[in-house]
Amino acid sequence: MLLCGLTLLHALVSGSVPIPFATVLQLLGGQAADPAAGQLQTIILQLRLPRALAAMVTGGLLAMAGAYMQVLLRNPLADPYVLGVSGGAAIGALLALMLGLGSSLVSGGALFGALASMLLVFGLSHRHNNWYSEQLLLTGIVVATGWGALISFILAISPDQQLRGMLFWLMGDMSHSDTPTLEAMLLLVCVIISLPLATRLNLYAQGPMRAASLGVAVQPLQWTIFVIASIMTATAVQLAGAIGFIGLVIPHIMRRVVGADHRILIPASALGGAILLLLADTLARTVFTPMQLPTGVLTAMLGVPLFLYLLNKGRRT
Amino acid sequence: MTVLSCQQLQLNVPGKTLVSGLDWDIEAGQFWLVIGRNGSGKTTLLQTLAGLRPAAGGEISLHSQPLQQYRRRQIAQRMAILFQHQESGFPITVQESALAGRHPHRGLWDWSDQDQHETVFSALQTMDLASVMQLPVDQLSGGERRRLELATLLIQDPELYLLDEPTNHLDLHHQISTLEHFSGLAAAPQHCVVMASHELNLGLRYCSHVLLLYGNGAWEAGRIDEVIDPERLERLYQHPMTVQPGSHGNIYLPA
Repeated sequence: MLLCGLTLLHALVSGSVPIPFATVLQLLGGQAADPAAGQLQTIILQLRLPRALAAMVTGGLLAMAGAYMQVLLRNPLADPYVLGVSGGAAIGALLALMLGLGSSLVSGGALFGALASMLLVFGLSHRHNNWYSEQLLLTGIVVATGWGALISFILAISPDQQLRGMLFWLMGDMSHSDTPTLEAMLLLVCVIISLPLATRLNLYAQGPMRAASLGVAVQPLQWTIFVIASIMTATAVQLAGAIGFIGLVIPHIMRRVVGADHRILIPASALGGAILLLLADTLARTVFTPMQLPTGVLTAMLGVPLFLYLLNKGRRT
Repeated sequence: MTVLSCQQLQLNVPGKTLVSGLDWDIEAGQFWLVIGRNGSGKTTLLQTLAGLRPAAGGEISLHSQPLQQYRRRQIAQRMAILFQHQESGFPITVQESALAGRHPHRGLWDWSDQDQHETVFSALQTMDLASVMQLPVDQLSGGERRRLELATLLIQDPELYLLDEPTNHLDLHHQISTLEHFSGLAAAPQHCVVMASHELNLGLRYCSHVLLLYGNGAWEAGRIDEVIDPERLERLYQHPMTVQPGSHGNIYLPA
């Protein structure tokens, strides 16, 4: 929590125009005496704060969706992106970009693409009211590969002036973010929903049959997980484009830090995702300032070494 | 008191009828042994009784009410099943794994694991696992894992225990102590145990009743002293048997 707050402050302080820490606190308190301060206030309240919040919400949603997916598939490889969701979203968004539509329609296209892709994957692997996790994972990977080919195709036939926007979208881009009020509320609701679900998730993680024998109504639980994870992923994707990696890695990192108990793991994943993505986005804005990098690039650059370090540390003890 | 009863129960696997027309009452105070050749339907029967797979026909009732009318949670409060194989999940400790047995008895917001500590500890102690309580489950040996699953069942504290080959992986000492414990439970009022096993002589030593599954739909059930004889066992296992007197009754050995 504390770390989360500090990262947020850091994000507000840093940028092309450096603003001292004290000033940031003053401005957040609502005091803007002179015109220069007014300008700074605009930068903070209308540019940096919405973007920082969007990064946190996106990271939180993706990490939680990943934690849910890993339970549903009972497979540590599961993640909304591995399952072809980002691909579907990308197709929707790229088509909208190619047609030169506005950014809200690009978001809409991504949302639609993500949901359609998830329904396709889950529909194909849902047999006799049961999900077979291996088939689900394979179907997802194959569908994702198909989307990948389509993405290359779209990029190849697109006019040059739209290519840069498309590439940024594909790598995850927070630069068009408004204050994500609805999305933040969704994140909060999903964290709250996860609390009464968590003990059942713990049992389901040990196997559906065992969970059923211990009194868990398995099918309703599977549908609940699926619906929640889908909504969270689709929301995150329309907010920030295709930011991979967080959904896969944050639940793993958190499992090493707080253990496998979902009562703690899911809120911790939301927090961890928020911190990592916010940190990555702040770096993306500031490393080559005033040039901005795609957020997804920095996410992986931060996340890969962190994950490898934790993986090795865990093995030695 | 009849806890669970089957009326005209039919069990199929694709292309084959395993059990047909099974009329069977399991009463409090009984310890049933279920025997039959590989693939004769022992596991299918136990999982069907637990409501985990549908029957091909007939009716199962728990305290004279159809099983389908119960919620999963209510079933889990009344019966517990030991699976033959345990699916593996994300790594957790022995204590966390055993705590799962309390789930059917806890409310949605009942999160305090401390209150459960005594129940969990005493069950782990019964199964000789108190010393490994804090270890991750994947560091246990096969037999220790088996005893952990049995301890989880004890924590679940149902009326009816369904045990699918409980002595698998257990050493001689723990085979005896485990079966001693369950026969003690079955002898107490309001509990009953059903055990599928290939450990014929151990089963005959501790159980009160036996269900023979021939794998072709046929079955026989009754008190062990009324049902078990060498001819039936030869027909059941399709193998010649020899009988020797032992300190706990007859010992049946394959010829």
